[in-house]
Amino acid sequence: MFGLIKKYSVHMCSEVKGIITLNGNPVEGALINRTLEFAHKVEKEDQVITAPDGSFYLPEVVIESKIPGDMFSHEVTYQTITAVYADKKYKLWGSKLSGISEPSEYKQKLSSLNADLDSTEVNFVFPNHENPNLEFDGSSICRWEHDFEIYEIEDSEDYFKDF
Amino acid sequence: MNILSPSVAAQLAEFAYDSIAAVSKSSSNIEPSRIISKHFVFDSKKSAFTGVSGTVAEHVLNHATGFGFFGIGSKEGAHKGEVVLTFRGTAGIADTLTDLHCGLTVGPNYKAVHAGFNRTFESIKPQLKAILSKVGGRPVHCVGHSLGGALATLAANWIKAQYKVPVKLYTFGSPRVGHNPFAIQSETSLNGIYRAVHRSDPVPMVPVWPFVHAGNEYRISTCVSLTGAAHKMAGNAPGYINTASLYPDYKSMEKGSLSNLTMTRLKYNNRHHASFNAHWAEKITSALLTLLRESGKITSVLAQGVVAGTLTIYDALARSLVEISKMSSKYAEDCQGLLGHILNFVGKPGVIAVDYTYAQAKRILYWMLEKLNQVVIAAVKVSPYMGIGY
Repeated sequence: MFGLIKKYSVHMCSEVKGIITLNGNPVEGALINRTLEFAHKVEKEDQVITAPDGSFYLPEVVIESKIPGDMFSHEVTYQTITAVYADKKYKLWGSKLSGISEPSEYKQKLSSLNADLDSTEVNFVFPNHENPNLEFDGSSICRWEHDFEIYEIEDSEDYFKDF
Repeated sequence: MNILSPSVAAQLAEFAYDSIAAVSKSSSNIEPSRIISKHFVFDSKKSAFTGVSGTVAEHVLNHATGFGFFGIGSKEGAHKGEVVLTFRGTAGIADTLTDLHCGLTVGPNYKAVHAGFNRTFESIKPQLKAILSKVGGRPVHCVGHSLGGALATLAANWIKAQYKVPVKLYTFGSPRVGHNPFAIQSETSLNGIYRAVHRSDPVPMVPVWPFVHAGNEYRISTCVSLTGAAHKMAGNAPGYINTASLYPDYKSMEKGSLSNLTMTRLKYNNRHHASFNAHWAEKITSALLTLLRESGKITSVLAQGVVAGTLTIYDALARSLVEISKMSSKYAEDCQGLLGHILNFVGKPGVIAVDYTYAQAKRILYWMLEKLNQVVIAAVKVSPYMGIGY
């Protein structure tokens, strides 16, 4: 049995496509950086520079891993995609992907990662069609037309001032 | 003090795993999901606490990692002014869980508990002390998954004993933490225990009796065939985050029976009905306890456990079974029925249990322990990165 340790395909991130603009004008030469971390153990990082029309592309990331065979593994991928332009860093995508397969909702969002660097970073939720009780969470400076609800927790109180 | 909804509790239990990065990468922000943020506020600099788990070597080297968060109920949410403590589980826990020689130690409510769990809890306790000394008399929710569930259980009992505040406990796939006196003390002192399990998750079945759970079991998935994947928080197999989200409150979940209080008798002729799953694991334990209680042997068997580990208890158990079957023909029948069912449970239906000796009874009981532990360790044993752990 020891020669046959099963490997699993772990989907870490969908294909990423997007356009970076600044006040509506395409941004060339912005550095797009994607960092992925699966089960607190496997880290993947890649980069790309935006084209003259502000567009960029990163392929889907799937790894072969034995980790899911361990019942005590925490099968979550932390996904972070940032853009660096003129010495400033912007968050294009921050989300925690649960499980090892690709949800179509993530695929859709990441295939249109369009950001104007002038926008503010927001927290948002998007619907989970398989389990409507369990919404997906993310944070980004990007905006989407559909399945995108920005939320703000308005609370000026400093709950931790005594700690 | 309102009860956390199952979804908020499950998300908090999962969120605790973010403390690993929050501690190791000081730059990273913590971002609880919206459903958590509605009710609790966390501070990326001050909320995380650390702990040491695993081997003695790690304790000696003091390899502390992020082990969870504490948060404060926001004024807009349903838990205003309350405190939440959430504990993560860990990789490489299997050895601790299935260590048949595992000892007991005095736990936070002065009752005996699992020494391994308590050692990790002790590494976190000073930080909890610092936090709780500043929160005043606020009610506390303790939440955790897997080993985190065991830690939450110990924390809840310790907080109750030390600070006398209302404490509620929420666990997902938690192993058993102590023997009966600890469980009874937890049940009577805490202000609510919400222990959610997938019936197919083997972890809540270990460590084996005389370790028992405190509180009712809330079964959020009722498939009985045991699989390691059913222990996970994430994913769809079925995943505690997923299943917990399907229930609006704990009241709507199926409650498990308190099997250690029911009377179970197993007839030898029916032994072939038994197979390896959660249902029969419960029935067999229940039949064993029924026999021990009725014959008056339970006290002497349990007395062994106070000074020694699980194996010694099962040795004493085997000896008792032989003695019990000599007491009367009725007991002899019951013992035979029990052993016959165990043999089928462990997949050895060909072995005949008639006129067994102490050595045979012991072998049969050991097969049962091994079989139960196998499900928990099998996957980890073949997993090459185990031992790197945290």
